[in-house]
Amino acid sequence: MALASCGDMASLPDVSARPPEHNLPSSTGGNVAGDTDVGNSPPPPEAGAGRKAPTTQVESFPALDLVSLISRIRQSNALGFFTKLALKNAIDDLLAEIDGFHTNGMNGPIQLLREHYNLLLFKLLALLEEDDPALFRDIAASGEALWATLSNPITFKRLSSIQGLRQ
Amino acid sequence: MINFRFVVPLLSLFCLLTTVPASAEQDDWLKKDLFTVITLKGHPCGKVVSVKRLGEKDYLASCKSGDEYRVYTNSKQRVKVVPR
Repeated sequence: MALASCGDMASLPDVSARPPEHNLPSSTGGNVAGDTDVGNSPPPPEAGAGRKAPTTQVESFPALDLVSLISRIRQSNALGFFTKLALKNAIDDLLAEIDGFHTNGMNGPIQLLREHYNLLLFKLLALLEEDDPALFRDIAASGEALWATLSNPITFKRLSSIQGLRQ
Repeated sequence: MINFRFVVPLLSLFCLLTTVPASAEQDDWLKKDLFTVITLKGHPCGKVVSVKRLGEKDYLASCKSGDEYRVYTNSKQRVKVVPR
């Protein structure tokens, strides 16, 4: 497999060993507008103390999680070449949609993007459930945190700047 | 003293026994891969029963349902599934 031989599995960080603070509250699901506003307008000075805590939490989120998960999908023996490439295409499409949303407000509302994300996640989990249970478990456990990363313009921008995410 | 009259047929038999299952395994793996990608793209298939190689990363998959699909990667490295 061309994609399976891209790297060394042992060198990848252990996703399951994430510290507890990485499990962000699922505020992105219900408070989408609030998350989207983070990147567009700074918090008012008087509300600085109240809003600093979640902002700090978002900034300390490990942006490499998505990258490491994609690496593990690439290296998984459970999926064939065409399946991996089709999934990569789907991930690229979703990232482009989310990028359009964060940049221009296109492809919205965010609930629609969330549906696309969920659909892709379920497809991926269905493919991995039998043949790669460890990766299945890690992705299932990271679903909400991954969406929190993608739906937040700050963390998404950081992800987009990581070379290799779309390679 | 090695008797080559026996060694050569034995080696041939060994090669046959080890390569044929590997090839069949690869064939099954490709069928599974093609079936998965056909299904991911939302096409009916059931099971890929036979595969014909058309080129580099270009296959014609025949499904149990009777449908045939050309599965290939285009120049933009995107997977395409085209019903025949």
